[in-house]
Amino acid sequence: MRQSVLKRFMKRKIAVLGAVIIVLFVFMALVGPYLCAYDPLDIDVLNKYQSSSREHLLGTDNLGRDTLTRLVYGARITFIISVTSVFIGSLIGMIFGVIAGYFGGKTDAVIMRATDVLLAFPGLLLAIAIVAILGTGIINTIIAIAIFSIPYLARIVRGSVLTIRNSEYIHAAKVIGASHLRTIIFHIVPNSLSQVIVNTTLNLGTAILTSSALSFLGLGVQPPDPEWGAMLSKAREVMRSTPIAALAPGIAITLVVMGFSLMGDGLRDALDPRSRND
Amino acid sequence: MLKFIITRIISVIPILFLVSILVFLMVHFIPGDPVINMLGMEAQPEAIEATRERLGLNKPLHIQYTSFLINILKGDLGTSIRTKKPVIQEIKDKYRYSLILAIGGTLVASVLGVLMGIVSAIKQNKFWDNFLMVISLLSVSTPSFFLALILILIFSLFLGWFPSIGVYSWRHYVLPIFALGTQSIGLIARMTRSAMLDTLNQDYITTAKAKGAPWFQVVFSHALRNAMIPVLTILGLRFGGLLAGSALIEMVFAIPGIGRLMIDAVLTRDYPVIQATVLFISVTFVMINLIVDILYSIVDPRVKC
Repeated sequence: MRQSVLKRFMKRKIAVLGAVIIVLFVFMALVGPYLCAYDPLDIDVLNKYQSSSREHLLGTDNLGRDTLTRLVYGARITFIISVTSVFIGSLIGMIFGVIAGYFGGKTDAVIMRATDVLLAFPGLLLAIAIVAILGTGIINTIIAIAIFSIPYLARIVRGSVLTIRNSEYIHAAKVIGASHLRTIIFHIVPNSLSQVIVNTTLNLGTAILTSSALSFLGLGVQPPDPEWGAMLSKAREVMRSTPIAALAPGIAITLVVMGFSLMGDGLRDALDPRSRND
Repeated sequence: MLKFIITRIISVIPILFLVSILVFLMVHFIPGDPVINMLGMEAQPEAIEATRERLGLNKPLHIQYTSFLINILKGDLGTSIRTKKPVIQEIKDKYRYSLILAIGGTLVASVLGVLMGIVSAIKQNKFWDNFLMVISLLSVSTPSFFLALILILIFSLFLGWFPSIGVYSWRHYVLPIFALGTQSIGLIARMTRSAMLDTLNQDYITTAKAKGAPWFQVVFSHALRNAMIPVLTILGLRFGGLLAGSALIEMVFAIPGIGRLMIDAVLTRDYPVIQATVLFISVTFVMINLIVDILYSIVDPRVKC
């Protein structure tokens, strides 16, 4: 079974491309900092706003810091924020989704109304509101995006639990005396896991878009930490003279988001061939 | 159908109610004393007491909430700490810019997205399908603020076709609307494509074709009409996203909209303005979705509670 999932995934060239993009960026985040000749925070005012050159492949920023180095360190921050927040958000969302779907009735109604309310704050608004309460910074960005991804996952997991709740094997488990917790952990969760994996992968892209948007607005990661959205925000002042300073982080965000999106679609097709759109 | 519409309207009331509670509680969720947060650490004790008194923060929570709600219903959203102006006035001045951006963005996204989706579905798995799906993938992956900068670089700085900041004529809106709408194009294109593929395989399409109906009639009048239902839902949901996301576009193009008002308020801890803008955007979003739901219960009689 596991091998056939991998086989189906590998068959989709475009999904493999997505995975390759992500692997390259993860490699850059893990190993890149050891290969950089500069420090991401080293200020060199005499060499600010340089175009690309042999010393600075992607030029320098408003304080003369090397853009390539900051891009590499920025990958770390981007992955730390997106992976941690989506993991926490998905876990909490999954727990609520399983409880709502499994127990139904009033519990379900309460949890679903709570997600309705969270979903009434569209897109970026919820993240901005949470940052308004907690303040800026990496940790608060992680919390904001985690809360942001809870309602989506809760609803998706609830939906998938509802479809398997009345399956014969769940009844069988109950008949032989399995407790609620045992039924949930050994029978319900494994069967809704493919949905969780697909949506978590897709959410990673959204998380990166949201965290970079927050930083772009000055509400996320604070200077001098290198974050792609914040780098873009600074670089827009010099769009005409050194466009590379904005293009580099912008293209990096686009590529990583695209990578997660392609991978998520590929995983969906591989894990659940019935849901294919084409 | 009337029953559906009434139940749908009633179902919105508790959501609006809960949204208002959350927005009200925002100030109380802030770690530390909200008044010191607003005025800063170096504020005089008298000033702190006066502000606490003026905002009613020394009263019990349920009384604070009741007067908050009554004030909102009366159209009083408090006073901005920074500008000392009534918040409702600030929002009134700025809301239309964001609304124009969000409506424009939704229109751009729906027209281009639906067209791309139709072409993709008709040319399924051929060159145009693959090409358009790559474009839509790019559109959903590119952050709107990055696209905005690229548009400025190409169309303002190099070609000089459109201005890059401010809102003085329709030409000022072209780039911001496009930057805001593009991210939704891909989503709508994919949605339209799969909905069209579903309907194109239906029996009534085969019948229409067999009866010799011209292809554009089959596509536009038979298939598209039925494919539009899921697309409409997405449009309603995207509209709210665009309204909130316009904050990014307003920052780039220096447009004095409600999004920028909100961001400035967050950066300066102007809590009455933060609460009012968050409330305004989410209420608009809930109402738009209500209208969309009701609209398509009218368009499609199959939709019932």
